[in-house]
Amino acid sequence: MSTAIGTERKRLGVRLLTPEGAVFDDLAYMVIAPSVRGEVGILPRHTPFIAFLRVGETRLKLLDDTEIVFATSEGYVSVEEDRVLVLVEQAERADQIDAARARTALERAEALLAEAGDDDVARVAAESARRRAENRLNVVDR
Amino acid sequence: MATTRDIKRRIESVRNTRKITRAMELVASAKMRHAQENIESLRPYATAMRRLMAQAARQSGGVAGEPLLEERPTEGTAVVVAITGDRGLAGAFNVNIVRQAFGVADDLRAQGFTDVEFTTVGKKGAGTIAFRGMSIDRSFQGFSVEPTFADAEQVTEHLVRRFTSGDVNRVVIVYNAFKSVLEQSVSTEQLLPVERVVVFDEDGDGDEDAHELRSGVAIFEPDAEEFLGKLLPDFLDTTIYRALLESAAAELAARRTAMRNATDNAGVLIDDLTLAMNRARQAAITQEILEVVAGADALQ
Repeated sequence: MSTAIGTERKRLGVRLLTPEGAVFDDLAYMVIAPSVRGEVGILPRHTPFIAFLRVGETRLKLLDDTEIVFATSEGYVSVEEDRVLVLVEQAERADQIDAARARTALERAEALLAEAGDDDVARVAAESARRRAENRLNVVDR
Repeated sequence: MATTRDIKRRIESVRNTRKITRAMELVASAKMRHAQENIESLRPYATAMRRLMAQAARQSGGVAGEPLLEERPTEGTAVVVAITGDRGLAGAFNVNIVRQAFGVADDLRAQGFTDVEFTTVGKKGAGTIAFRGMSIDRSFQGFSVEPTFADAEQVTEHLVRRFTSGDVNRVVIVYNAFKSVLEQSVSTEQLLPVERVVVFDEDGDGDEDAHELRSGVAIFEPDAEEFLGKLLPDFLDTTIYRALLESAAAELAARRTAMRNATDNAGVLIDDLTLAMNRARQAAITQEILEVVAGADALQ
């Protein structure tokens, strides 16, 4: 029965990069990322593809069928010759997110937002911090 | 002539100063190592970002209509971003930046810009530039030795806003690039408008790379033009973040060198003072012996 599945199947070289360094750099079987046009699943031999990612969760299915979930901020994914590159500003493994800390981060962001008032620059920074904190909580709550 | 006790007091004081400078040297080198690691961690991200930008630009078939790439006339207002440290005691680190920033401002004026404003990062630059009576449109501080990506975003946000609103026609950044532990060099880069050669420079060597994609044309989501529009601000974030990181590492390296020199100088000073003290002590002893001998002679 199992012909293409199992040891035979192809693999993807996946790199998940943030400005603070690589979060994941290994082989995987499938990448599921939240593109702006909806979630995309990438399997080996995917056509060259470049997309803008929204805040959400990126899932990697490893060769041994375990799944890793990351809470990711806005970023990019690019696929070229079975190499998948995910570029995001922040990525955290769901099983390593501290819900309590994420909650305080959210509160802090909201306080900053209230404080920012007319200052556009500070407000934009506070808004993006809030969005990320919310996303962390969403991913961990799932 | 200084008495033994005076000299002893001075030696003690120099010794205490040396303790402080040595501690600062050690702290700076520990932090510098960390800052260097941060630069290393950013590199793959920045490289990948460049590649994506070049691909998107190539596939969107021209970069016309993108506001951040729009060529502007060399007139009106230009902004010089001077990235300095929050603290001094780093040799010529801050002074070099300010000097270069003023030079760049003069060049911009010579090119036809009527107004040059400064955006400063770091307390030291803000202080000096304000003292010279230049106009500062915004000053960021508090993160000079450990910048985060969010800090970089704030700076970019401010600059992009001023550029896209049309009241600024050129943005140039001046920062200390981290060459090696012993060498920092002041770099000047044009940030906005993003130059064509930068957009198409895939490998970051300063040349336009025109070669085709190996695997043909990629599917873009959303289409390549829109994608490029979204990517450019992030590219600027990355550029600023890199400049901040380099500046942080350079500041720490400069401080380390300055503090090492100070420690060495303190050592030399202590040696000199110790010699002077021994001389003074010997002179005092000789004097005393002479007095005793003279007294004994007088009794005979």
